[in-house]
Amino acid sequence: MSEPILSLRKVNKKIGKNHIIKDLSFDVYPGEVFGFLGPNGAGKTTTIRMIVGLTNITSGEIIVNGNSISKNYKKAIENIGAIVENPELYPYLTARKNLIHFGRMSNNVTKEDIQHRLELVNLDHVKDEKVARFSLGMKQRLGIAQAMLHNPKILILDEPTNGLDPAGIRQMRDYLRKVAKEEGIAILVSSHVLSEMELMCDRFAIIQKGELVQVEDVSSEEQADIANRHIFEVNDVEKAKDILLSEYPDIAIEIHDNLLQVDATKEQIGSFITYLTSKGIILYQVIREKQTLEERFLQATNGEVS
Amino acid sequence: MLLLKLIQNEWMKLFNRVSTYVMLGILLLGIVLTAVVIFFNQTESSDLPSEEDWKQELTISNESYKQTEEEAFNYFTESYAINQQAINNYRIENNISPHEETNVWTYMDTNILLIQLIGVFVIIVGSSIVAHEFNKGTIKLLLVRSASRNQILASKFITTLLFGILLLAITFVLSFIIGSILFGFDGSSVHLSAIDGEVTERSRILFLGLSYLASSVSVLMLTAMAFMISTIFRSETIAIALSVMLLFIGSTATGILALFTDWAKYSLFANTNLELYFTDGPLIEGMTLGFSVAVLIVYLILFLFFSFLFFKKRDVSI
Repeated sequence: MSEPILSLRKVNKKIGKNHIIKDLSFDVYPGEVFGFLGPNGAGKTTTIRMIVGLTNITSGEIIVNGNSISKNYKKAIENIGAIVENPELYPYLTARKNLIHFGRMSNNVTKEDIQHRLELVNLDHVKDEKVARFSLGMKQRLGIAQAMLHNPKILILDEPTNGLDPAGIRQMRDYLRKVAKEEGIAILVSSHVLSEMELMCDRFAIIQKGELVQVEDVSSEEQADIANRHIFEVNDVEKAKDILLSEYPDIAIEIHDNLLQVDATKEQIGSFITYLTSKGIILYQVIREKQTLEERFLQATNGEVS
Repeated sequence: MLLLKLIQNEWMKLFNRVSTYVMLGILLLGIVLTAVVIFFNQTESSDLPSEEDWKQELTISNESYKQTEEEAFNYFTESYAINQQAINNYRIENNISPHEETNVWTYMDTNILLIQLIGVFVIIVGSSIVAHEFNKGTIKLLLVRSASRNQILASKFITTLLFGILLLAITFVLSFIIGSILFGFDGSSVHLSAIDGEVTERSRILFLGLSYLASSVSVLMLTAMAFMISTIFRSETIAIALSVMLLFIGSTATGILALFTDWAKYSLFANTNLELYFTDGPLIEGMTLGFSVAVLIVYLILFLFFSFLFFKKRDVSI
């Protein structure tokens, strides 16, 4: 992969005696949607606050496009578009005036840019209505439009699907994926709702109690060298189990609901199928049981979901 | 330039809020109301006392000032009595009556009272322009951009001042227009003031301009104070309550304090009334215009210094 656009290096945050973030390190690359997951209170928002400079870093470094956020704030923040927690826009201004307001704070944001962004997030028809009348979903979309006005290299969104209906979530997901792929922007999305993140993110980090638990690809389970659970539907489970165990005594195998559960890599499964068939067992189907992000999350956090 | 754009933003936000129009409405109502009251209580030339009468009146008043002068137990009371006698003598010698027909200047003089109202409004704006962003959470989107916190706070303070200047200009200009239509320029007199017994004659328009400016000084200082309080506590309520209270009782309290100690001259309100240096002389012996201006600048710098210090340092945790 190319150079990371955002890089956290052993970041710590202490407030008084509380050690809120401990040695947190991860990288986010251009063009990817990076999920930042953890239970409520794990330190997701604190980390985002540190990335955008709303709170000081106790120790460690946050680098945005080569600039340290604490030493070279102005250069670093120019690359960031962000929504921290709720998209809090000015309720007494219209959607268009909100964008004019934030556009004036950056160089070279034209009327056309504002119009373009309004159209992209599908708010063109209500641009002259006051934000106070907007639904949460509309505010989220306007929040994204303001975050992207100055063409940032990384978009940081804190719980962007909060309060959205399923259609809104889907729309948001499609839009973010499109933006990441087409404009090559990196997107960091924090969430505690995992089923949504699974469909949205390329990679994710899980934090718990301020510590990084793991970073991995959403698709990592498809790698050939990792043992996954497979379900075999056969005509005679007892016989099939005995046959397999006699040939491969080390494998984990169980009978469950008249089905055979086997933990094995892709390669092993291939030879199991050939072997069972040669011994006269009839195979109806073999299914690889997909471990959902949620299950992996629970595994990583020892089931401590708030 | 970024700062100009930020001021433009603050101005846009200010004038998209209902409360701003409520304030403007109340101010206009005040201007109209004083005009109506004065219109129905006009002093006509027939109401004016004869030369003999007002000279008699001034002679009596001088006797009582003489007594005050002799019994006075502090500097200001004494110098005030001396100056009033000087003015009265000047009137008698030069035949300048203290009474005049109602005219545009007397109306504008009355409207100086409205500067107190403007003070309240500017304090409200100064208190809410920062605290409101924190209350609504919009401060986060404002700060996570390349404008520095200094620039953002400066734009807010400058906008508050511009709003004050706008209200002041509206009051001055509108009072002049309404006054000249309703009351005209007839029967206007000169403005007399005396310092150390020396009488000065000034044109009314010049003196009114001076009064409006001088009255605005306390508004400026209290706005800076309200701005500081709201930036430190991030609460509109505390800032507004404290500043408005001081606006109304500050100079009275300082006046009382000045009776007992000369240290009162370092207090804010002993120095906000700069008009005194042109009319009655200093509040406390030894104070000069330069001294007061210096004290005011020190206060202003302190208020702004603490505003910027706290705004820059603090984590935004809302």
